Amino acid sequence: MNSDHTTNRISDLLRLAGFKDKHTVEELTDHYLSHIENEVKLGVNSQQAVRETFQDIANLDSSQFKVKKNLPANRWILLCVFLLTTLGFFFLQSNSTKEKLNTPSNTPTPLALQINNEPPNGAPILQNTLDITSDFGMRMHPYTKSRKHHRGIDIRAKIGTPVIATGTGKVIETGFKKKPGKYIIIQHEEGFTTKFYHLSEIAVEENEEIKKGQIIGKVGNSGLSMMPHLHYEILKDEIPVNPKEYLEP
Amino acid sequence: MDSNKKFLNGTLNTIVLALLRDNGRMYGYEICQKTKEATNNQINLTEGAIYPTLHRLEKEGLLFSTKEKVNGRVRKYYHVNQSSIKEVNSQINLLAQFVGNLRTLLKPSL
Ligand SMILES: [Zn+2]
Repeated sequence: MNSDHTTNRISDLLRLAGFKDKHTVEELTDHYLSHIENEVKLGVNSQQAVRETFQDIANLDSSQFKVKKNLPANRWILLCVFLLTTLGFFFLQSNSTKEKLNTPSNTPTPLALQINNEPPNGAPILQNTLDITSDFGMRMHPYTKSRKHHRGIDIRAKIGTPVIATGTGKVIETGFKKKPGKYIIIQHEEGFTTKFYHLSEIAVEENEEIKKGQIIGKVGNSGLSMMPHLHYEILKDEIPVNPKEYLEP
Repeated sequence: MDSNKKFLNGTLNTIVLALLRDNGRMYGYEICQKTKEATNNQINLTEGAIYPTLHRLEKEGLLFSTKEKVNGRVRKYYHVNQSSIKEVNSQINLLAQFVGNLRTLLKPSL
């Protein structure tokens, strides 16, 4: 295990996960390195320990780490007065506010990922507007009702809508599995991978070299899916990143 | 494990204070491991639980922290602030008492 490399990667991943405070990043980096060291001591293969730890970090919810301040009573009164006086203002603007509240919280721009020359980008289906019905990140699973990390985004579309490659690359896997249904996995440059689930048709073969924009299949409802949609994932070095950040070419 | 989480909500502060009082200085991961070992893997503190708790207790002045270089990286240790030891002790005693009461109340159904 290259420990310097691992240290830097952990800190990078933490920043990507939304940790902005230098001291928190430092402390959590020590936490995860301690964990890796402990796993290795217990006999786990060090590469595996590192990989699993990276995955843990990718699944972290940085909003949990905010320390809530307890406001003293007099501050509460001031806050209430402030809220009441601004209520009228918000009432007038309620429509636009609602829209703003509905947009997902800003995920940090993955700086480390932008330096790569051509990550997969653009819409994964041929359709004017994208109807994203489920965002990347923590969500309530529609079937199991458990809080789960959603590794991609769900885009609602009619069965048969063409699915296109979002970057040049090579098809490394296609097939059918219980949960993803008919799926395609494409490997791109710079450690990027894209995944397309719940398809009705697969139009490419394993090991096929494909170009950005090429039609690779059709939207469907196969696997664990409640309505026709495309589940779309982008992974960087095996770790899911928010595809929404890559939808604009 | 999730039912543990529900109970931990109101008691984690005190558990952390008690661990630190009895073990001297500790760092975050060490607290997680200690808890895991002491409870036979029954209580698994997540990063999202332990660090905000430590940071809050530090902010409130019940704990203070020091930093040290370990294995080429910085490690943050937490200590009980001796000037708050009375408050720390009373919090721990109150919880211990509460747990005792719970045990009495729950005994018939056990
Ligand atoms: Zn999905």
